[in-house]
Amino acid sequence: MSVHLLRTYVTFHRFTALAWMLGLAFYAFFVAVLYRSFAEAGIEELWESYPEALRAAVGLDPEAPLAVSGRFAVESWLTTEFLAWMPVLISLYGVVYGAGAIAREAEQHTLDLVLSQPVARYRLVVSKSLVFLLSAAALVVTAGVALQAGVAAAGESVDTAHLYLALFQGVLVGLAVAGYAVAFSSAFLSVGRAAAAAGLLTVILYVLEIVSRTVDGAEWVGNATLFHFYQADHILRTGGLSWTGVGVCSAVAVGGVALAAVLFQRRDIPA
Amino acid sequence: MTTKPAIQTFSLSKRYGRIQALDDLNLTVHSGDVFGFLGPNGAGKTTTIRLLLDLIRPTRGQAEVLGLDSRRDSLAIRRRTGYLAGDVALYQQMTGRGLLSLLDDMRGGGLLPRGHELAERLELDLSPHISSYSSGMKQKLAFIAALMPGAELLILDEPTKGLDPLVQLEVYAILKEEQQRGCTVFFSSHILPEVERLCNRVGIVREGRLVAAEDVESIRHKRVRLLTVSFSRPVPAAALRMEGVELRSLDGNRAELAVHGHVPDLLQRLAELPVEDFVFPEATLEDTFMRLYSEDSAR
Repeated sequence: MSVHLLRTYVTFHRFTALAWMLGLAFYAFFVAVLYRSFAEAGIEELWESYPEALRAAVGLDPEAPLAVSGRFAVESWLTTEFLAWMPVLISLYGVVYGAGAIAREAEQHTLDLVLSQPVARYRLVVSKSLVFLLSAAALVVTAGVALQAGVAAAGESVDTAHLYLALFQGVLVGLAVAGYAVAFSSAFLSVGRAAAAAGLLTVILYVLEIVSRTVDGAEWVGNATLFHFYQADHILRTGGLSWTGVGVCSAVAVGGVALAAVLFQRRDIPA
Repeated sequence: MTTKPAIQTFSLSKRYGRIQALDDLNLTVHSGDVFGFLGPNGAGKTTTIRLLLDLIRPTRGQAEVLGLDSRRDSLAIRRRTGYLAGDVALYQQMTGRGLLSLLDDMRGGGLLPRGHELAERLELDLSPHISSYSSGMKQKLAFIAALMPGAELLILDEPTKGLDPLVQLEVYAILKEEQQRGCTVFFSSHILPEVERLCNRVGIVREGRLVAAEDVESIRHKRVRLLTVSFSRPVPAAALRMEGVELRSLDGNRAELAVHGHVPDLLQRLAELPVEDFVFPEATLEDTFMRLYSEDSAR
């Protein structure tokens, strides 16, 4: 990593990161604050009418009751309306950011400027990747604060540690996606091709995960997807992280960045 | 004592698919040289420069820069080298000052006073965002960025591209100063008078092959001078044919001669003819360059 490059790239990315933070915070607060209205309207009956597979597909814990004290549980509400989608949103962010990380500089021909300085190529890759890590950390914090504020405004509460653990594991999925998107970025040095490849892979993984949760006999397919290990409802209620999921997502994220560095080291920089 | 050449290439070649961008380049640039690398677009000048800086990798052969292997010791080379790209691309979202500050940080600091001094000499305002700079201003900033480290070797790809004539003169003056402090300058250019003015050695590249690499003085000795003679009456073509003289045209009383050889012999011959007037300008490097080119193409 180069501290100077990291600082520069953080500065370049600050408005995009801020837009994601504000957007996600608004969505999180809006969802949380609406909890009471929907709970009082008896939304748990609607969910109970859905097949178990569909409930599992959106991350509801099959072992946990949907209603607590006669009302849809706040943990289930946050899971179905926000936490289940958050990894998808962060993955989208990861695809867009990761695909452009190296390739955009190649397309704009600014790599010459950096690589004519005494800076190793891998430092550039690591600096770019750390910018996304910092953005993801900021997203966890802002989404957590917004959810807690919204839940409090609705007159409810959730366990703070459990909430942040759920957000952490959700963001890890996005980090893994960003990791392989950076690798595609280094491999192709084309934003369009890298985004297409990373986007397609992510959609395939997501569809496989839905299939594994909804099709009888296809449960094993889920083990091959990044989304499989993320059980938001379960984490919110028990604080129980999937350590396998943490390991797999971390390995994919770090492995993607390492692969990106190796590929970038071998590439000719286009003039 | 012998000093290592600043740049030395050994059968350096680069192929992009079916296109041979550089073919078997063997080039030596001595320390302290101001070396002009000439050739038309697509000749292989930029490819050579990018190979020297390890921005691209050779298909065959190798290069040494400041006595170091261009691939294995790339970081150490870049620490001691200033580079200006042919197509300047800078971070648009930064100010000129911010960019110089970043590059200063990346090289360990202490270079900004030199950067600001150069900006003053080139009359470049460093405060605005680079996105608002004209192409000439961007070129100036990239030139400053290349010279700011006070490197041992400057590799400049068309350094005066897009600069107005007055700024070009200042750039020439700065490059002369760099040479005087012992810096080696390797630059590519299309502008022959610029090369003639600045360089002590020149290399000419064509279709990826080195056509010539010589002292500018030695190339001048190979010069071709164009002589235009007017006669008071028509003269036969045979009267103008002699060794070292090529009759380019004979139109009535007017003849154009390309003079490669010894001038006194020609003057003796002309003295025997009814010469009314003649124009015999100083040969430029351009004439010589064009001759070298046409000879190489004819092979």
